Amino acid sequence: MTTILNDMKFVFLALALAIYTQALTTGTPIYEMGDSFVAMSLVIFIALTAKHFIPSPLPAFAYATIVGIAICLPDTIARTMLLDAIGKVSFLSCCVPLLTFAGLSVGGQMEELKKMSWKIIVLFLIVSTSCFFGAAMVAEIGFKMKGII
Amino acid sequence: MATQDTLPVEQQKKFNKDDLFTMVKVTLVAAVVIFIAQFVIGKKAIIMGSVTLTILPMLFAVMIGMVMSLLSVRDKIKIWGKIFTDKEESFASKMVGFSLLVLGTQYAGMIIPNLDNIIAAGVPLLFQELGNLLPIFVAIPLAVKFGLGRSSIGSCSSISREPSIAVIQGKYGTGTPEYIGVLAIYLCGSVIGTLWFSILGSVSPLTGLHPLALAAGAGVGSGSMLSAASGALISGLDADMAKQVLSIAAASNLLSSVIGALSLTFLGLPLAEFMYKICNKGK
Repeated sequence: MTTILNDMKFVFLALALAIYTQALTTGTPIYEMGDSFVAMSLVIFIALTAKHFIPSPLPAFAYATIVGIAICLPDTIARTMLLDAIGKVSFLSCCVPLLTFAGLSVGGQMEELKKMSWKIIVLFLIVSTSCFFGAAMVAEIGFKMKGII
Repeated sequence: MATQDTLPVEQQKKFNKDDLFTMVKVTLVAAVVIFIAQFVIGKKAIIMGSVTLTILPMLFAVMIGMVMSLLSVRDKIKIWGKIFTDKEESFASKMVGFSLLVLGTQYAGMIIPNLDNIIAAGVPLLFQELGNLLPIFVAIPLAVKFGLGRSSIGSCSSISREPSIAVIQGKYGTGTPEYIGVLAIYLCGSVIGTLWFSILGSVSPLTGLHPLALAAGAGVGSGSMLSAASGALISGLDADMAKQVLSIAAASNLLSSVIGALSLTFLGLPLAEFMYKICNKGK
């Protein structure tokens, strides 16, 4: 439990930065996103607790998604409030701090990446292209079978 | 007993104070980087003939962050090197995990209103995840030929977005070859992924696959990859079809981010390990 509470400090920090990014993007006053802060912290707190008591190979953020969906599935006032609160901070605003930290955390490992050089770029192109067409081909067959296309 | 107890507590207090300082430093640095990326630079569009390339602020954020944390930059600018040490770097990598939690709640917020949409496209979209196993057969043999060793497993078992990093970090741990592999492809994807997906989106209709099927493909990666590929896909389609393509692409993206972690854990990684064994036997 202490670990969870300790982790929440960093969650607050991550949330604050997401809200800060949102304020920079759309000019929404920060105090107007107070409910977003509370709602998302609550979901994450439940998710971390769930992860602690019901461990699984799923990453912690998947727990947050599942908890969020579980709260929103029944058509209650909690659903409207939560969706409204989460919606005030855009998806991209949450991505920017994430990618900032990701960037800051990899520079030291760049030497390792440099060793891989062009090979990694070639691999990325092949991996992403085969993912794209792999998914598209399966969907083509599936949609045809269901008569959607 | 009492003296033994007090010492660690005192040490812990000192440790916490240092930690707090690191936390404040990294947060301030991040806030400045975000400010520059989001507010000073903002969204940029590059027009190349008929293709419009949108570069989102998050791409600038990751690039600025990478340059700032480069060892050579830290060596050259001494003051910066003192401010941003390995400790700050490891704190930043810890914060990636916590930012992911925030993103997790965002996914929930996106899935709920689109639930009908996703159910309508239904089973085929669910199976689309199987298509994401294709790189295991195509890219792992090549990666092994390149001599990448076990990083092949990390780099070629999936498209290597946030869920993949989380899964591989959980299974193999930070600093392992598998983790470095997935991170390398992740970084490539963050830097050139948007560009590549907009090219895929414009070129792929030439294959004769249906736009709705291609929309499912557009959703396999990150949010910016999704917007780049689906944006390119809908150019030239009528308004009604364009809306359908966008909703399928978004649903596909939501599904792969939720099921992606599951499918990588239970299908992708075992299959990648198997493929890796086969490729090494041949040597």
